[in-house]
Amino acid sequence: MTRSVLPTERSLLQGLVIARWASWLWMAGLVVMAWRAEPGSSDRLDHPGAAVSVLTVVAVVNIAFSASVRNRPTRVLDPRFAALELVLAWSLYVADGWVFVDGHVFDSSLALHASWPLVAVLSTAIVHGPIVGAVAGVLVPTGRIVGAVVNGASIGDGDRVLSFASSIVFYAIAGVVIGLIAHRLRDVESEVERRRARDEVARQLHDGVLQTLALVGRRCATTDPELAEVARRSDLELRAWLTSSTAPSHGDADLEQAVRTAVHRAAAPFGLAVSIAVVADEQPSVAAAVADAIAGAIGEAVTNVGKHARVRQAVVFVEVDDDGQVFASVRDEGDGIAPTARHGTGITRSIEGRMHDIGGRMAIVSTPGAGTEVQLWSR
Amino acid sequence: MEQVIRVVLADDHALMRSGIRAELGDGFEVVGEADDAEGAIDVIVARRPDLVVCDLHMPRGGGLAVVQAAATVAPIVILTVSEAERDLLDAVAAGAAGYLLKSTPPDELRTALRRAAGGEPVFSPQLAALVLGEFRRLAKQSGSSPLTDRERGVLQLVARGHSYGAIGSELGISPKTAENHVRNILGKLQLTRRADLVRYAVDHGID
Repeated sequence: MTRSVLPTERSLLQGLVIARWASWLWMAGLVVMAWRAEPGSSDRLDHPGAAVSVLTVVAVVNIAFSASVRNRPTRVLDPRFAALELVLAWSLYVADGWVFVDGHVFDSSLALHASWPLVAVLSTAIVHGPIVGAVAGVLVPTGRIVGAVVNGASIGDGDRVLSFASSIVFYAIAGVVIGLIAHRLRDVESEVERRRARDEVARQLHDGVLQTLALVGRRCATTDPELAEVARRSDLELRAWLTSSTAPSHGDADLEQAVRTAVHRAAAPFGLAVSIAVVADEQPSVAAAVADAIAGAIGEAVTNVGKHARVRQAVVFVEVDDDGQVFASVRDEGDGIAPTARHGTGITRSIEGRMHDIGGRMAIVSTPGAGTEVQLWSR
Repeated sequence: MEQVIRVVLADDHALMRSGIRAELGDGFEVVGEADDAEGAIDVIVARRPDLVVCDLHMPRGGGLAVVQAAATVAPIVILTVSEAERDLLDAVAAGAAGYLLKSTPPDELRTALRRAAGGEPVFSPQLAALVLGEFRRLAKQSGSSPLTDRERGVLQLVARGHSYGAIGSELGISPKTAENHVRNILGKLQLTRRADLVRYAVDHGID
């Protein structure tokens, strides 16, 4: 069975990436300190070369894990990955007994493995569920027993048995709990998906309502202009809602979404009908900062139209070229802006500011009496 | 005095038909009505109107079927509630003269229909953007753009909301030339769609 890594699951794993590196830093710090420990201290290294090798192996696994979560999260799903990690986690306990002088394991409060084994158990539980998490939680701490033996400690007395047992129980519980949480999060996420599908159905239903609104608008245009206006506004609202609640079938979803939201927000107070068209391919996608700046600038330009142009319609056009660069325009057939009044107004300044922030530029082409076009380039 | 334009209305909502009929006023004469695609095709062939106004979603085939069967008889303007639809592009590729939103105000509706009857493509910014996107896809597939740079420029200006007049003055050509570019673009869209169909037929062993 193939499954993908859902966004929430991925954020959990990303959190563990940080924990992995924190553990590694701790381990590295410990090895450096052990190097300088005085003879006779229980924190002195017996096998410094082995300690450095352990650090290296953990760093390599950390790098592999971080890179997988970042670039190809499905790779983390491979059971061999989990097996490798758990074996390494187990070995770290053994290594703690091996690299240090005899007596270290129970005499020192510092341990080479730090919290790395726990992180390994948790990420196994997240990916493979509570049962596998529990098994991993039981098996990994058994390495402690082997480590203690290697370290020359006796493991038979009551306190020590209790200590081993408690880490096994604690790790097993942690594995089960985090596995269940991850499971629950996955369920919630699929529920969100299902809701999205339901919205699609709602869209179909609302097509009927749009038909009716258009009809009301038509029938009442002369007999009851106020009712026709109400219908027209509802039509605009519903249309805006429909386009914002359904994902576009192709192109740059985030940019289009941001533009639609900004335009709707800006146009609603003026009852302005804005036609929005976004032309984009699947790839490449537009940087979030660029999408935000373009959407914000378009929103301000639409507000400008609503305030000054004395029209009821405007056209927004956005095109993303093959390099992910954006051209956008906001055009109305209104009064036009006199060349002298073109710059220095609050709105044009803030549009210009947004474009400058992303290294872009803007231009206003306007003929008094024949409309205005605000043009935006992301570069 | 302008010539009265003979119109066929096709919409499955009788109320919508009567609403449009009332708004068209003196310059238009409704010579036939239909409430489904087959009825519309029959009435268009029988009455040979100057213009057809046709709903996109109707029983028994919808606007697309009407365009496929009768676009050569009279210019067909598609009426729709939503502009961002693939079937709309299909209808235009099949030869529709353009489309109008059902919420278009009466005076605009009349102007647009008069222009469509005169053979001018009724091309909204939304539709131009859809066509622009379609050509980009085609260019990606085949590695070369079916459109000339000039045609692409004209199409983008239409998508930005420019009229043929404004496009003319922007590019230093006459409005008529701008309009002809749009007509050529539509022709190319129809051709590529037809080529797609032929390729599909060959690939699937249909004669």
